[in-house]
This record gives sequence, C-alpha cells and structure tokens, in this order.
Amino acid sequence: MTRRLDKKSLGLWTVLMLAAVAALACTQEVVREVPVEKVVTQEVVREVPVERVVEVEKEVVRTVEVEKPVEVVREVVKEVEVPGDTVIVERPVEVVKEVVVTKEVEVEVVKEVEAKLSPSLAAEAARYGGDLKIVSSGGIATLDSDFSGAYSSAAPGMHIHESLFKYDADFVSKPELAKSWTISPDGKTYTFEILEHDFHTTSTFEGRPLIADDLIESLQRWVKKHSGGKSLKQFAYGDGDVVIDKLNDYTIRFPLQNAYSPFISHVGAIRGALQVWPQEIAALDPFQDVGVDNIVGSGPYKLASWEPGFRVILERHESYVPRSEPHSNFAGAQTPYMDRLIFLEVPDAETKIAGLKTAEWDIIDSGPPDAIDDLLADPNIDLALNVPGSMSNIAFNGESKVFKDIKVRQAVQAAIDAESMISTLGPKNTWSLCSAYFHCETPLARTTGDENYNVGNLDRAKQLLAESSYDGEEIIMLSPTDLAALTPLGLVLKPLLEDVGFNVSAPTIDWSTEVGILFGGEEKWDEWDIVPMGFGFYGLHDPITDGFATGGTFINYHNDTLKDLRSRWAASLDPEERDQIVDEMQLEFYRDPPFVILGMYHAIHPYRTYVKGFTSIRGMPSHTNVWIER
Amino acid sequence: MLRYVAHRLLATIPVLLTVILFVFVIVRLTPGDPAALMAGPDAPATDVEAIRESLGLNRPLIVQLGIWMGDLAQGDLGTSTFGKNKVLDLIRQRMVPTISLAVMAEVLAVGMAVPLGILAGWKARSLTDRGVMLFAVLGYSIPVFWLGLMLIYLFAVNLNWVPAAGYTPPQEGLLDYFMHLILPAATTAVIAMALITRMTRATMIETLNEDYVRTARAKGLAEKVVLVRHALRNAALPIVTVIGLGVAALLSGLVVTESVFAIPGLGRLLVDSIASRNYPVIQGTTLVISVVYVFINLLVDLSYAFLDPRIRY
Repeated sequence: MTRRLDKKSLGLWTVLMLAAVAALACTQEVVREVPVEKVVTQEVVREVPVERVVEVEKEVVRTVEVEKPVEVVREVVKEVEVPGDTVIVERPVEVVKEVVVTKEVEVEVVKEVEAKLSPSLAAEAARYGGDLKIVSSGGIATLDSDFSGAYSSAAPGMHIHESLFKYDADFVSKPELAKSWTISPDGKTYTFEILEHDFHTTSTFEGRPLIADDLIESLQRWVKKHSGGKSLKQFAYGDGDVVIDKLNDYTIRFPLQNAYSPFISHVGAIRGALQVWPQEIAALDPFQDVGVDNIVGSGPYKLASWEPGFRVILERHESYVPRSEPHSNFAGAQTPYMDRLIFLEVPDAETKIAGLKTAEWDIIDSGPPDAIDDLLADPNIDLALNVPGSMSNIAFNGESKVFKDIKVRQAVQAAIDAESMISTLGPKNTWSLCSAYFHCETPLARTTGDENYNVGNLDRAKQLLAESSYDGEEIIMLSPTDLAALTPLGLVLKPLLEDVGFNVSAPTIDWSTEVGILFGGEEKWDEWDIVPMGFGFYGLHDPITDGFATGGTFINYHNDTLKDLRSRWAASLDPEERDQIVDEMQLEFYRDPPFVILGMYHAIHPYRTYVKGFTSIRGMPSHTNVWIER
Repeated sequence: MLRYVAHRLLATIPVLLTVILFVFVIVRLTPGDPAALMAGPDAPATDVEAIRESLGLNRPLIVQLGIWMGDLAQGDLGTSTFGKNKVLDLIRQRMVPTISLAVMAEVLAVGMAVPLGILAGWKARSLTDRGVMLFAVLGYSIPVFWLGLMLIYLFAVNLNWVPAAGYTPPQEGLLDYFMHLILPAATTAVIAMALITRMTRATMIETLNEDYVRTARAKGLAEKVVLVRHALRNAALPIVTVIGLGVAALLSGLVVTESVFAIPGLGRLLVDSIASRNYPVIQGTTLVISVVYVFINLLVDLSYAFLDPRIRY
C-alpha cells in the first residue's frame, strides 16, 4: 500500500500534465490552416526543367534478303521411244534461287535528353525553393491590411494582394494588374484594361479568374477606407458617388467630373493602396476585419496558415505569372522564388539577434538599431536600410490653447537642433537629416524653406516665445516609455523646452495609453500639447493624402492656404505648375509648422548573407525576387 | 469525497463571477483605445470612430457586459477583435506550448530539487547544505530574462547545441519540439527548483528530528530507507503543495520566458492582448487562467488524501 501511494504522489502531476498536453496536441484543429496543400515541413525544390526531345531519324538500311522463290523447271527424266515417235518424259523440279534486293526502311528513334539550359537560365531555376523566415516588426494582430494600418499586417499583405499599380524603387506607380491604360487629354477619363490573373485557392475560397467586377468592388472599398480613395471621391467626383463603368470583363473606365492628376500615383501607394479582393469579400464592411478565412488575393503568395502570436505562413501562388518588366521594388516582375514566406513573431530584441546569428531565421524586419555594431561584426550577417524611413518630428496639438499661436510653434522650431535630437535614436547610419515635408528621396522631396530647419538657436526661440501669447501656463508633453523610436526624443525635448521658457509636464505613459489620448477626440484635446512622433512612410505622402500636413489626423492642424494649394495641385495637369505648388506648400509649412521635422529614421533590416536580392528596402521590404544561396 | 468535490466546484462559481466582473471593468477603465490602435497613427478620426462603432465599443458598458455574459453562458468566450478568431480557439492553441513548457520545467525542477533538498536537509549546516542553499538563493534571485539570454548566448550562439529560440509544434517533429523547449524549460525550472529545494530541505530537517525517525534509525534501518520511506513521505504534503501551485503559476506566469524564447504561449497571448486592448481575449484568457488555478488547487487538496491516509473528505 505504501509503495503504491508513493508512486502516485510522485507521478500524479506528471501524468496529469502529460495527458493534458496530449489532449491539446490532438486537438490541433484550432490552428487556422487555410489551404492544406503542402506538408508544413516539406521543402520542395523546383527541378531544372527537362526537355523531352523526339528525334525522328531516317535511316537507310541495306539488307541482303534471302528469297526463296520457287521456280519450276522441268527435268528430262527419260526419253521413251514409241513407234513413230519419241516421247519425252519430264518431271517438275524445284530450284532455289538467291536474289539480292535493296529496301529503304524508316526507323523512328525517340531520345530523352536533359535540356542544356543556358547558364543564366540554370542559375534562375536554382533560385526556386525553400522557406524564408522573417521576424516580423511586431505582433501581427490581423492579416486584413485594408482594415488595419499596422505595418506588421501590411508586410504579409503586400505579397498577398495585387493592385492596379505598385510603386517602383523611385516611388513612381508602375502597372501591376493594369495591362494598358489611357487618360483622355482633359484628364477626366481613365480607362484600364487588366491582365488575366487568378485569385488564390484556399480552404474557404475556390480560385477563379479576377475580372472587372472584382476590381470595381475593390475600388469602391478603397474609396470608403483609404485616404487615396477618399480624395478621389472628394476631388474627382465632387464628393458624389464614384462611378466606375465596366466595359467588359477585363476593362473598366472612370468618367471623372474633374481632372485629377494624382489618381494613378495613389492607386499604387505602398500602404493605403488599392488591394484587389474577390467581389464578395470586397463588399464586406471595410471598417471590420474581414477575418482570416477571407484573406484572398491574386498576388505572388497566398495565405497557408496563421497561428496568432506565432507565425503566418504564405505559400507560392503557383498560377501567378510575374510581369515581364524588370523588377523594381513592388513594380515589375515579382518573382516568387521562395516556396514559403514565414513571418514569425519574436517579441524580444536580443532574441531576434541571437536567432539571426544561429540562422534560426533569415531576416529581421526592423531590428534593434543599437545592435548594429554587433551585427556588422558577424561576417554572415548584412544590413539593409529602409529608405526613406519614417519622419521623426515634434508634433503640436493644433487644438492646444498654447500651440494655436504660430509664434509659439515657431519658437519650438527655432530651438530645435534636429541633428542632436535625432542622433539619440541610434548610430549615424540609422538616421539622416531631411527638411522635406513630403519625405526625402521621393518625387516630392524639396529643400525649399530649409533655412528654418535644424536651427538650434535658443536666443531666437526665446525671442519668438516672448513675442507670443504664451504666459507660462503648463504644457503637457506625452512621450511613451516603451517605444525605442520615441522615448529618447522625449528625454531630450523636455529640458530643451524648459530652456526656452516653457513650463513642461511630462507624465509617465505607455504607447497604448498615449494612442488612446491622441485619438480620443475632442474630449482628450486638453490632455496633450506636444509629442515626439514618428510618421511612417506610407508611399503616398503628397499634398492630397498626407493627413498629417492637411489636418486629417490627430494633430488637428488646419491651414486654409494649404487647402487652396492642394486643390490646385490636384487639378493641375501641368508638371511644372505642380512642382511649383509643392514648393509653395513647403514654404507655408515652415511658416505655420504643424510639426517640426527632425529628419528620417531608417529602420534596419539585418539578414543572413545567404539571402540574396534583399539589399534595398524602399518603403517596405519586398520578399519576392529574394532567394537563398547557401 | 464526491460531495466534497461537488461542494468545491460549486464554490468556484462566485469566485469566477467575481473574476469576470473585475476583469471586465478593469480592462475598460484602462486608458487606451483598441480602435485607434487598429487604425494606425495616420488614420483620420472619422475612421477611428467608424471602427469603434463596428466593434460595438461605443455601446453602454452594461450592454457590452450583458452580451459577453450571454455568450459565456453558451460556452462562447467571444471573438477576437483582430482576425475574428474564436477566443477559445486561440486559448487552446496557446495552451499546448505553455503546458509543454510548464511540464518540462516542472519535471526538471522536481527531478533536481527533491534530491538536492533531501541532501541539504540530511547534511544540514554542512558545506554541502550551504552549497545547495547558495544555489537555491541564486536561482531564486536571478532575473529570468537575464538568465534566459545568457543561456541563449552560451548554448545556442556560442556552442550551437540547441536552437536559440522559437517553437516547433510537436506534429512537425518531436525532436525539434523538444530541442526548442530545452532552454526555456531550464530557465523556468531554475526558479521552481530553488523554491522546491528550500521547501524540501526545511521539511526534511523538521521531519528528521521527529521521534519516529530516531526510532527507525535505532532499530537499525538503512539510512536510505529512513530518508525516503520515513522522512520524505511525512515531509511530502508541503512539497506537493509547492509543486502544485508552481504548476498553476507556470501556466499563467511564463510571460517572460515565452517572450525571451519566442514561445507562442498563453502568457504572451494575455500580454499581447493587453497591449492591443483586445478586450474579448483579455477577458477570456483571464477567465481560463482563473479556472486553471481553481482546479489545480482542488487537485492538490485531493492529493493530500492519497499522501496522508489520515486525511478524509
């Protein structure tokens, strides 16, 4: 009895827990695997194509054939003399003769030979296959990148969905689904013919051809949800219904009311771009998550499974045909070399680095900048920088009693030594100085008005503050304690503001709470005055869509001059006039600053050197045209 | 016994109801807006408002609570704000890595701690005892995240014996599954080991001074028999209590280990859902963890009857 009890006491917990593990492991149906076409661990290597060559040979064969023709001859056996005559008695004899004949015979010879590929084609074929493991920049809360503006949701989404156009490396829209297009001379009629692409087949969706109906519904979704689409409705259709005509299954037409020049640029933006969904999914409420079962596109990769908090697995869309134009960022040939893209969630920065060093994963999307030296010391690791990066800045609350006064904002602008502030974010190669309101390295990057950038003149700042309506009241600076791209800025900004003469309160706050206040609407306006901020690059920063500059976002900035300029810019079909308007807008921004630019902060993307084709990140990392070469 | 179990189960109902109400109110009082987090920093206020409305977040709190309680009564923990995953599915999915890690850590901890505790208790106040206690104090004092990172750099980055981090589900390869759990389990085990070692040592010292132990020695029993059959058995109750509560704590408290080693477990689900203000997941996960605590406590209590025949329910 005693022994039995001892065993129980020792094994009780182990047995219970193991049973629980086994039971849970057996109920793995909770993992939302969408298509189950491939075994998860299977690595499929695309074979070098083998040609079957049928060779027909004509062969002349000279043969000696032995014929045995029977020739009947008569042999005289004997002569019999009969009265009056002589009778000859004969008998038949068979004689065999050999005759030589010549014949021509056709012989068909079938040979299987391995195609002799050209070296370049063989190298291209060898790029196919394998898994690419990417550590996501953050937690992947949703895969509906139409619903959420989060970068970590957009990163897989860019490989799932197609658009009519996508940005190339210079941030210029180039055709993706568009086969051809025409714009009428008055700029009011856009006609697009699209390529014959197919939607993905998943466990919940049977793949089918993508046609004009899908595109039209997706465009209407874009109009409801994204700033590019909303601007189209506002400027091109005078806020009326967006009319899109279906000419046939592969051609659509936009009869605009007003000329609208940025249309094609907005459609191809990196984030907030048009995403083409099947019609029935595009028709769902764009302000709700479509749900994992509805993540269907026509891009080079399709969703295979999503285990929230762990990983998202994308598989190659086998029927995807890349465009013939050269690859450039998200434009041109998007060749899916990898069999699978696996986006992993790894919360700890040190662990991200350790896993990259041991090749547990291949790429880190936005790695910790303070690890640069350590990473570069490893010969197996290289770095790609995200260009243009996000714009670090100090943003004002346009509804703040203090910062409504232009002079107060100009005082802060004059005080800020941009270089010394942005250098707190990381080593020199992770940031760059930039005075362009519409982001550097983009078609709208300007230096106009930059005499007011990176000034760092405390005396001038104090003078401007003295000329302003500021009367020593407390201002609230929100700076989160848990965001590496913002926390150091707050630590430097507070003493600087105090040096200028502000009375600053800086409550301890985490990012989630800060977001709640910034977006809390009118009732939260008095809870903040100034914040260090980072505006991510969304690939659509222009006079129309840049919400930060035009009053659409939480900073509550309003400027009528800018309003007029943006309307003129939208309607103008003259490139020179549009350039001039951008210059005028930038000057106005520096006169009446909605925020003070510090510069561009470049996220680093460390990767194993065996990953090829991943050297340049323009806006967001693209994992097409990337392969592994060990 | 059955009556006792039924009584204990009934007693959990008010406990769980309190937890439900407490969690529901607390998460909504916490500053932060899930709609704003979803929309992203460049989103216009109108979009944030539209998302808030679509999620039902602008309804009165009492209505939201009523809807959740109604769903709960039907066994539905709700749907995640993001991705539209069922909360119960998410929890079940995350339980596998967490239970795997907890069991492995607890087996390691018990396997090391009980013999060490017996040794320290038997050789009390000796150099061996002091050595074991130093180890236990260190184990309890070292921050888990630091220890985890040190183990990663030593055994994964430098020696390349085990994977640095990550997780492989058992159905994708048992060897890989175990290899990925070794370092996190060892990291987690150190704290549990320290606690169990100290508890075992203390109870062993107490028990070894009892008269029946002296009697056992006087009648000439081998020291091993005295230690295991007489002393350890009588010292078992507090040790089992610590082990049981340790398992419960591990199931909910592996947040740091799971984060350092990138294990997609229950602790991380809770922390991630708090960061994104994913109310249904916060509520569901907290409720499930409470249920686990209640049931493990019940199992510990029931195990006393097996360990000590004098205890009757």
